[in-house]
Amino acid sequence: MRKPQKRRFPSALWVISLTLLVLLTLSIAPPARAAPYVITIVSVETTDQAGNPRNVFWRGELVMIKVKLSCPGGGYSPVSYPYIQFVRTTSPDLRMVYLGFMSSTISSGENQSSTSGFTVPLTATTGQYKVKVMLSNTLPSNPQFQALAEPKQTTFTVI
Amino acid sequence: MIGRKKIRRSVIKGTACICFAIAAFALALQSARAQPPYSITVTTDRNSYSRGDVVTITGTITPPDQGVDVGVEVRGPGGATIWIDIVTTDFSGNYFSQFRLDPSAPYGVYTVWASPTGSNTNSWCEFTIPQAAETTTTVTISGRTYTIVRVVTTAVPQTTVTEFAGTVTVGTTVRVVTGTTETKLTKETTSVTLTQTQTTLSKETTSLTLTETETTTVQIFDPVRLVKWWASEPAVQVGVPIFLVGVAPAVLIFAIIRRRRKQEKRRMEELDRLEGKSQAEE
Repeated sequence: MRKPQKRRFPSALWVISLTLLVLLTLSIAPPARAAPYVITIVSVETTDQAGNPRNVFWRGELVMIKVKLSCPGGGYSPVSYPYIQFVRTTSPDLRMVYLGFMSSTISSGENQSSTSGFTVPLTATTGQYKVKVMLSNTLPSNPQFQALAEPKQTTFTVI
Repeated sequence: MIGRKKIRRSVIKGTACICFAIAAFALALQSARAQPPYSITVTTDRNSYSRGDVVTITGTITPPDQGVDVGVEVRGPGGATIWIDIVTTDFSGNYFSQFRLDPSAPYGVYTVWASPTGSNTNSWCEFTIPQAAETTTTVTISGRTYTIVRVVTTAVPQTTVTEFAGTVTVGTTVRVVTGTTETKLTKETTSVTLTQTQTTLSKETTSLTLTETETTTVQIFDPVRLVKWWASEPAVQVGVPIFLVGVAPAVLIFAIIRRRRKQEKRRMEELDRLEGKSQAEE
């Protein structure tokens, strides 16, 4: 007597198709559009002339802004990324009091640190000042513009 | 034997369907992950400003997308960069940057550039700081005297006062002792609209009437906007048709195969039963 062969294939097909459906549903879910940043701004801090962290300054004092960058990756053939670093400081009334440009190159797996500074004008308004550090490959007036790191902010107070 | 062949054929068809579905899925996933090329618009809230004014830069990227970095740069008449910013788009693809012009900003034409990251495109617009007779003068509102910090010579019938030094109510008459027709007063957090009701009475006197009082901006979570955002997601735009074209027919084919296999199984059982019966008869 010939027994009908028992096949598992149809159930496997169903499993595969259901898996596909689940995966497709996941792909339809809104993806968090993570920008492809190649550099990370690790920290932005304000210091005094001696390099001690400080976030309260008097008018006429020198504010130093210390920026630490890191470029993930590395390995046998590190990739180099030329970048422009913008350090912008705005007063409480949205006036730009300082804009620093720095052009450099960072390689994957490398950490860099830079410090720039400015003197708080004697006529500066008191209050909370914002320091924003941005990294890009070129200026936004160039169509090739690309942000290379997520901008990072810190604040200090002028009394 | 014929039944087995049929099954084999069905299995091949089924495998082909799976391959197609996987390919479709991969395509959908790739389309969803790839950053589309954006076009961008940029505009300022006004065409002309005075020194010390706040410039508001807004724009939109197309197709609308959230979390896209946009570089904003403002260059002065001499070509020097006076403002730089990297901002991120919201649900609707809108971005925003704001700064105050320096009190000693040079007169002339300023250019605003905006560029979405990695799209090889940018857009620009212009605004001017016209060389106007900016004078400090006084204004009298309900018997109180305030200082005008901005005087614009262009004859615009309506201007928004974003700063005002005092509480005013609708219908208050503002007497401006100056030779110009448009004024801006000082105080933060108050926004009133001044509508000119009468042109210059004499060269030194202008009468203005307040038609609106303070305005407040309230941010409300808008679920409709969220739905619109979902609908505008490229993953949805690609994924749904791919699902309809790729996976749905594949599932249908699998169902047909399974049904045929069941029929085949039943036939074989019947054959076995008949064979057994005939053997028993023999």
